[in-house]
Amino acid sequence: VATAEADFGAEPSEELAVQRRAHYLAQVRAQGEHLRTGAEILASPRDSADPPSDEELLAFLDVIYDARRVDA
Amino acid sequence: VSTPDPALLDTDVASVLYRARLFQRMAPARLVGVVADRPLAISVITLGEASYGALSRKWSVRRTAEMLAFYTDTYLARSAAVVTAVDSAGHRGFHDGDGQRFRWPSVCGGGETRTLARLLKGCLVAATLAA
Repeated sequence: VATAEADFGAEPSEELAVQRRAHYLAQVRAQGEHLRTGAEILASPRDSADPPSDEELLAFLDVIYDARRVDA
Repeated sequence: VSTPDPALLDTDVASVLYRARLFQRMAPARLVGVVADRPLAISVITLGEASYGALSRKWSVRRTAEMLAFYTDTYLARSAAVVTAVDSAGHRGFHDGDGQRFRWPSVCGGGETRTLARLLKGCLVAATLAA
């Protein structure tokens, strides 16, 4: 924890954050990749051959939430 | 027209989008307002949680692979991060690319994405259900 605080504790300035976001997007573009937007994701077709049911997906999320509570 | 700032999704938001797409349902309007035009990304933490959830629920290999493929392809998570997340899902802890070890509940609990956004030094904007 001490190491993380020492390495990452300082909040960046907004100017620096803007530069880093621009750099990140430039890196993605340079790799020929495209970060999808929420609208693109929601509009993409369902393509699963073995989708969970809605109930199973909720159970899947419950497992994650339970683990967080146990370890909190 | 400038591109909106990219957003780092937490596990809850990524799951909402996964579920909405899977069942062709409307996502909450307030959330859509935040993420619709933003390029989106997820962290290795979310991949770890999703992997853990699938393993715990004993999902089939196909179902697990499809879910992880959606996450990695959609959000451009790097393959190395995926391997790390899947390998570590069983004991719920993993290392980032620099060898820094995270025990994910301590990171996820109460503000995972904000914490990660800070760790990334402002690289991404945090988007959470509370946003």
